[in-house]
Amino acid sequence: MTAFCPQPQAIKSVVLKSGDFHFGYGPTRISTLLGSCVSITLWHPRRRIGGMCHYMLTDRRRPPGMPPDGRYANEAFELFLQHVAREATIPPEYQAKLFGGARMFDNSDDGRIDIGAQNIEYGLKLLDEHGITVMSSHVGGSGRRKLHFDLWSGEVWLAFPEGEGARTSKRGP
Amino acid sequence: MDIQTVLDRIAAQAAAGDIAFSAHAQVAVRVQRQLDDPDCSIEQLCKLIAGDPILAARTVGVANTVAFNPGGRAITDLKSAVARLGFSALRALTASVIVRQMSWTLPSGEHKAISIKLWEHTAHVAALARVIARRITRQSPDAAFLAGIVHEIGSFYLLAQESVYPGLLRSNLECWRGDGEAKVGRAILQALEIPHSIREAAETLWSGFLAMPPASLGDTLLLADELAPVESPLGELMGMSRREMPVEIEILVDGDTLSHILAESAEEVASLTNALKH
Repeated sequence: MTAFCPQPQAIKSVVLKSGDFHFGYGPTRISTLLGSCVSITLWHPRRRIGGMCHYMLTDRRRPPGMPPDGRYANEAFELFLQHVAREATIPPEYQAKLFGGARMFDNSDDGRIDIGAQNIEYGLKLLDEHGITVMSSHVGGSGRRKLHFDLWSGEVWLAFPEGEGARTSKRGP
Repeated sequence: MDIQTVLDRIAAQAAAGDIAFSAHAQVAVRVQRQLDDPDCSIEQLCKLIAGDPILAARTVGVANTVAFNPGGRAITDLKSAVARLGFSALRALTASVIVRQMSWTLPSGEHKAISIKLWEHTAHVAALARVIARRITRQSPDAAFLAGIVHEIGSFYLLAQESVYPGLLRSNLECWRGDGEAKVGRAILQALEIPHSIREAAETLWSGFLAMPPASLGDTLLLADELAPVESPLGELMGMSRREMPVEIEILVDGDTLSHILAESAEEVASLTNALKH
């Protein structure tokens, strides 16, 4: 499955915090820690390029002239689209994976807005609108997720330490 | 009680091969050894298995599940059951008897209840792992089944130690899910001469990193563990229960989705889970 595996000392590590974004290629591992935030990875299997975002909220009223802010899903996606175009590629050529969107409070009836669920739905909608296939997703629940995305192979490694009792869900494509 | 010291002691005992099997499990251990013999015959195996009524009944029962008998042709004799299951699946079944007996001498009803739930979880994981291996990760279904059977072997051993260290399960077990489980589990799998590929899968489970989409035997086991509808009671004891907060997982496999594949295989998983539970 993996055509090229870099020596461990050659791997460049990029750690995304909330609102960060990275797009690139080569021996780079992008890592992040997720709660109710959502990360989307996009990978071009032929060109072996890709990126990852880490957004906190769906959208906002964006002040005119402001550059895209990766804390918002629609603006993080704009950053993706800029890189996709810069690489002379189109969105449907990419494969997506989507993670996160946990409920961080152990009470489903407290009237709080479930930000995690909103983030998940919004991310899936954006991917669908741009014709990008979702290869896998691991979303919801109530714990933190650790995520590594290897740009050289497109592989994503997920640790969900308290995770159990998952269910599958029928979503597109 | 310093829980870390106790867990280190338990792991050291297990690593030294100081594991006591009941007379009942010894038949299963002998069957495991016989399966390792290249000259092992079905007749010899059947004679051994017949010495343990529970193992014999489970062998015939599992051979008649939808998972191993999709045509619905019931069999009642041990020899046909062994032939239908094959040696790899039989290895998993004997392992299930060894794992299950570890906590039979538990002192209280409370601990027995934990043990029953842990076994229920184990049965679900084993049955799910078999289907995931065949339909999703393209791994050996028998290897995945065995990995599922033994994946909580360390927890069963920990439960059994309650009679030696009273109050153990009421201690702060955070370090158990840290590296305690891996230390004890690793030692027991080694002592039972469980094949390397299965031990490697257990290491993936303990490390906790799942490839998305899953590909290896370890990923198969981790995914089955996450999907199992009955969670490990050890998680609850540690205050890490995830009830009512399900995770949603979706994976695209050759144009089909994980949820669709699992829905199609629900009967197979249920039949195997039930056969293991009894």
